[in-house]
Amino acid sequence: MVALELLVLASAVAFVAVGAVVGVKLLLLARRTRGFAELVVGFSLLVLAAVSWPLTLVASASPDELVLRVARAGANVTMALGWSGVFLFTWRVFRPGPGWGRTLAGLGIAAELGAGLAGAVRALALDDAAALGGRSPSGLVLLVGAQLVYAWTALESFRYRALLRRRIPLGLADPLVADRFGLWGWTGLFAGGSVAPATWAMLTGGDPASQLSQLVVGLCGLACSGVLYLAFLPPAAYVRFVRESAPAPAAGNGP
Amino acid sequence: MPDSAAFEFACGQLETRSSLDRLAARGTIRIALKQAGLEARSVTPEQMAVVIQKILPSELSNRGVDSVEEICQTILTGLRGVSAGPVSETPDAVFKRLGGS
Repeated sequence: MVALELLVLASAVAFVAVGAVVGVKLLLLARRTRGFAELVVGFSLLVLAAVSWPLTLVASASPDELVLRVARAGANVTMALGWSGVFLFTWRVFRPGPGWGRTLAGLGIAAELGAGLAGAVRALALDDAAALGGRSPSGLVLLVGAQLVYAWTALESFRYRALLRRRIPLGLADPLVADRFGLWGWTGLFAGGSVAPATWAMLTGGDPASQLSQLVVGLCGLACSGVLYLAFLPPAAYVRFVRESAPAPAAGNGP
Repeated sequence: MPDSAAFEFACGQLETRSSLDRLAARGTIRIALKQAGLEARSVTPEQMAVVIQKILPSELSNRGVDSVEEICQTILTGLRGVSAGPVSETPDAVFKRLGGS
């Protein structure tokens, strides 16, 4: 039991640290480039890692009712903002313009923001503070939205990585960029996995703190932090490994 | 989203200069693009040139098209005058920037 709790704690600390550092890095990049994508994804990572998860930890550990209520309200709003940002990023980067991507992102953002606000009001207004950790429609919508956007992000990223891997031998793609798509896809998959036990509990009324749930949350959280780190803060040895293991462009290729 | 100017140009040239009809010409170019991991809506003239040089010749030979080299050379020459046009930022451009590379 203690080992599992330590695993979950280590996973949370790793995600807070890596997510915050990557989020700040991307926001600084956005300030320099004025790029919309880095602004949105940097904001989302920073809010989710450095605000939402710490508030969730405070809410689950605090015996003080006022602190618990404020922390839960804050966590609901910031999670909604963070996951809305992921919807926006995935749409703008992979499916820009009108079409089903815009519709999906619009619906997702509306659902997330609505559920986040409703969750915040519930946290502040519900008579029985002890019941705040239980099932609620707003919590369900918030988490299902997160699962959806993480799955969408993973699918788009893996699809694009597959495209770029075919371009590498022709000299039309950078192996490191292709690898980053794959890592971002894994980030989506593991982030979805770390939220899945809570979503499952919200759907079925199961125990989100069961041993299996803690194991899934801990392992997925650690894996998520690892791939996020490699995607945006890759050590030189990893960069070398990716470049050296990619197929070399045939002579005479390239635009 | 409409197909790119480079794609339309290559298809038009292939249809005009080979025995392939419109549908077969477009299909052949699409297959070549797919092999290269490119999409008709976003392929640039520079990317199309690589596909014409490296992939299209074998695709045309497989279809029994005559004068493959000449056709490909003509398309390549014409592609130099095709403008990339207004293209939205591609995902790979965004992810390249996100890595700071």
